[in-house]
Amino acid sequence: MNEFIEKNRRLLNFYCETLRTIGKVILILGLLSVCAITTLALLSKFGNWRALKGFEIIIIAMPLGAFNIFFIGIGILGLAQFIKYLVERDYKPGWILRHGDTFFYLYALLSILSVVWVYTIVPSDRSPSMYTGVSMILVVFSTAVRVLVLVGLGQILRHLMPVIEESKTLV
Amino acid sequence: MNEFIEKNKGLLRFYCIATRIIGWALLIAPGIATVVQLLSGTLMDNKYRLYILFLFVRQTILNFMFLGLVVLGVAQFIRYLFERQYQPGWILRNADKILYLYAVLIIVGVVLEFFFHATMTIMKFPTESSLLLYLLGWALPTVAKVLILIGLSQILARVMPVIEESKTLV
Repeated sequence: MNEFIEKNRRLLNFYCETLRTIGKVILILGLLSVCAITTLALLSKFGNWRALKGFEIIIIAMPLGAFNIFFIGIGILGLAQFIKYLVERDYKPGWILRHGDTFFYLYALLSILSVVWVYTIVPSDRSPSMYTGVSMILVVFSTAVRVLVLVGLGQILRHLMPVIEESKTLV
Repeated sequence: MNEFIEKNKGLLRFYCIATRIIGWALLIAPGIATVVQLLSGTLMDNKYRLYILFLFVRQTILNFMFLGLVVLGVAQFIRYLFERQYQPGWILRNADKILYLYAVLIIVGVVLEFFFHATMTIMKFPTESSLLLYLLGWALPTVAKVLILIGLSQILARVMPVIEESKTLV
């Protein structure tokens, strides 16, 4: 392992820095888009500006997009921390990595809540039909897949961290 | 670790069975759907049949079949992490290669999509289109996906011996 790190130290540093930059860019872009949509929503509600057709749906659906972007950004930053933790002996896990399993569980919970949100709060003019039934089954199935994978990843991370720590202290 | 396994044996078994069923469903069902779509011949009359076929195959391979492999891999990894006697399956043993292949296919898919999009846009709007903007919009998520996949494969390649070592030590 040490030989690999010494050989590829610059590549690993470049990789981690790139990941961190991309993670931060995604978080900033997500934050900016939430701010922009909130401002436009306030302008359309209290000002003279008239919202475009369908804008209400965007406002209602915004929390879904916002939490997805937030967790993707956090996930990328956590991955960069995990790789540094794995390959560098003296690196202590950052805040995201120490709470990685909690993030996975929270993402799983919010994924379930988002499905409930979409099918109970977001207005829809579609009448119940074969199409909506099939699409609902697909959404529930994909959410189940996502939740299972996230819970699994949370468990893996939770039990893997002590194993890595142990292997570092042994050598 | 052993205490955790004993306490949650039923839950772990349910989890592994559920992920395996879902993983196999994701692997098999979209493949059948693609073959049925190809054999039905409904695409033959469409002007953009090559593009639609490409989107359909890409969706099947990248969004469903690889997701199925990932789900099966997670199930195998959990068993490998928690069960002392369990030997990693084929997917877990070749997970780093599968993830690299996934990264390559994502790049190929984006390049082909850009090629199709560029061809159709230039045909429709020869002077007004901005392909650079479209390319930039695709670049960030693609680079992020590829980097994540490379990182995950590197993690797997380094973590597997560590787990094996920790099993032999106790």
